[in-house]
Amino acid sequence: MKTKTRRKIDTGYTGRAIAGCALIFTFLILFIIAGYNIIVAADDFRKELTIQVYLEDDLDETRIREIESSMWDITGVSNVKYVDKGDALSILKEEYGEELFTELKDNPLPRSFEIKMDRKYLGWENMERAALEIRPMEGVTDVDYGGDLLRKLDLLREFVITIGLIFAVLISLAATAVVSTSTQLLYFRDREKVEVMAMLGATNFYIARPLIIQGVIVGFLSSVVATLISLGFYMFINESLIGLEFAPPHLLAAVFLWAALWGAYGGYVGFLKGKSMVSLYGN
Amino acid sequence: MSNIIDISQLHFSFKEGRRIFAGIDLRVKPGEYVVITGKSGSGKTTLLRMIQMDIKPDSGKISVAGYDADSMSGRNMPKFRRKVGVVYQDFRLIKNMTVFDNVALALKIRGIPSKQIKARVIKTLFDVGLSHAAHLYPEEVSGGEKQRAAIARAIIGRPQVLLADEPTALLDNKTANEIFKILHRINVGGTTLVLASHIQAPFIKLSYRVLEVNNGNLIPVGVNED
Repeated sequence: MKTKTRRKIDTGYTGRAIAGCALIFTFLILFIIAGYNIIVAADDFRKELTIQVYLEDDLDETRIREIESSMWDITGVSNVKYVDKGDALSILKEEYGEELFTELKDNPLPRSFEIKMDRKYLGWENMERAALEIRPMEGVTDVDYGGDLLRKLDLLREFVITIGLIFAVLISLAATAVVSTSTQLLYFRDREKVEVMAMLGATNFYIARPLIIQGVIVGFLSSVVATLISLGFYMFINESLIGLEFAPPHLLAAVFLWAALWGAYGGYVGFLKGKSMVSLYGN
Repeated sequence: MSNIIDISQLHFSFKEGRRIFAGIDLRVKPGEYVVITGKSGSGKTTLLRMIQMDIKPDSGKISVAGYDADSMSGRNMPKFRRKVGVVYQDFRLIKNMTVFDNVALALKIRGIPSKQIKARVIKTLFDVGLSHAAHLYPEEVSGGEKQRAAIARAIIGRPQVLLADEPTALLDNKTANEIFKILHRINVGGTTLVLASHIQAPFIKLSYRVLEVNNGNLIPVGVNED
C-alpha cells in the first residue's frame, strides 16, 4: 500500500515535469520546423541560381571555346552550358509566349554561358569570386549572378540558425529549471534516505545518479511527447499550407539527445539544490 | 600506539552564543570503549557530531581514524564516513526498505557485488540476533529490533570507530541491556566505541572509561581515566 502511494507520488512529480518540459520543447520543435522550411526553401531557390556570362557579338568560335575552358578551371564550377542567340530567344519565347516576339526582326539577345556551381560552392562569396574571375576575360561583356539576392539568402540562413541556437539554449534552460525543481522535490521527499546514505559514506555521484537518470528520462520523454504534439499541429496546419516539411529525423534525434542531456543537467542541479537543504542531522 | 580519536583544545558555541565546549581534550586509543555522559543539552551529541565531522568546531584540532577535520575535503568525506559507523537513538532506518535492504545499503554504496552483500548481511543480522526479521519493514519490528538493525547497518562495513548516540533512549531496560551487550561484543571484536548516554552508573560499574560533559568541560568519571 505504502509502495503504491509512493509510486503515485513519483509518477505525479515525473508526470508533471514531463508535461511541463513537453510544452516547452513543443515550442522548440515548432521553431525547428519553421526554420527548417525556411532554410530548405532558400536552398532550393539557391540551387536554381546560375551565373550568366554574356559575350560580345563578334567573337569567333575559337575564343568562345577558350572562355569556356577558362571557366571550367574556376573552383566550384560544376557545369558550363553555352547558350547561343537562337537558344536564348527560344527560352524567352517558351517563358513569355511566341506572340510577344512576332514583331521582332533581328534577335537582340547576346550569346552567353550559363554556369552552375557545385552544391557546396553555392554561397554568396563563392559566386562573387567566380564572377570576379570571369568578368575581366576578353570577350565577356557582363556577368550576372544575383549577388544581392544571394547575400540576403545567406544572411537569412545565418539568422535562422543563430536564432534557432539561442532559442534552443533558452528553451533548454527553462526545461532544466522544470526538471531541477522536480528533482529537488524528489530529493526533499527522500531526504531521510539521502541523509542515511551520506552518513554511511555514499559519494555525491551515488546519491545523484538516480536523480540524473530521472532527469534524462524526463528530458527524453518530454521531447518525444513534444514531437507528437508538434506532429499533430503540423498535420493540422499542413492542410492549408501544402508542401511544408516536418522536422527531419536527424534533427529530431538531435532534439531527443539535447533534451536528455539538459534533463541530466537539470537532475544534477536539482541534486545540488536539494543537497544544500539537507544535512546529516536534518537541521 | 597512536590515538584513533585525537581532540585537543576544542572550543564550540552555538550561534546564539551558548558555550558548549571550552577547550576540551579527548584521546581515544584503538579498541577503547568510551562513554560520554552528561545532562540533556550538555553537548554529548554535539561532540559525536564533531567526531563524525558533521559540524566544525570554533577552534581546536580533531583527528579521527587518520583524517584531520581542518584539512577534510568533500571528496574525502565519504571515505572517512565509511570508517566511522553511527547509531542514533531514533534508529534512522529507511521506512520503505526491509531490514535486510537497510543493512545491505551500507555495502551497496561501496559497490560491493550483490552475492557478497547477501552473505555479509545474513551473517551480520545473525550476529545481532535479527535473522528472523530480515524480510520485515522497520514499522513491522520492535524498537529493540530496529536498533539491532541500525547497529548491523553501522558495523557491516567494518568501521574502525562506532559512534552510538543515546542508542537505548527509546528502549525499555531489558532491551537496552541487550543492546549494550551487542555493543560490548562489537568493542571486544576490536572496534573503538564512543557512546553518548545521559546515564552513567551502569558504565562505571562495567569499568568503562566514562567522561562527563559538564559546563563546557570533559570531566573523567569513575576509575579508568588517566
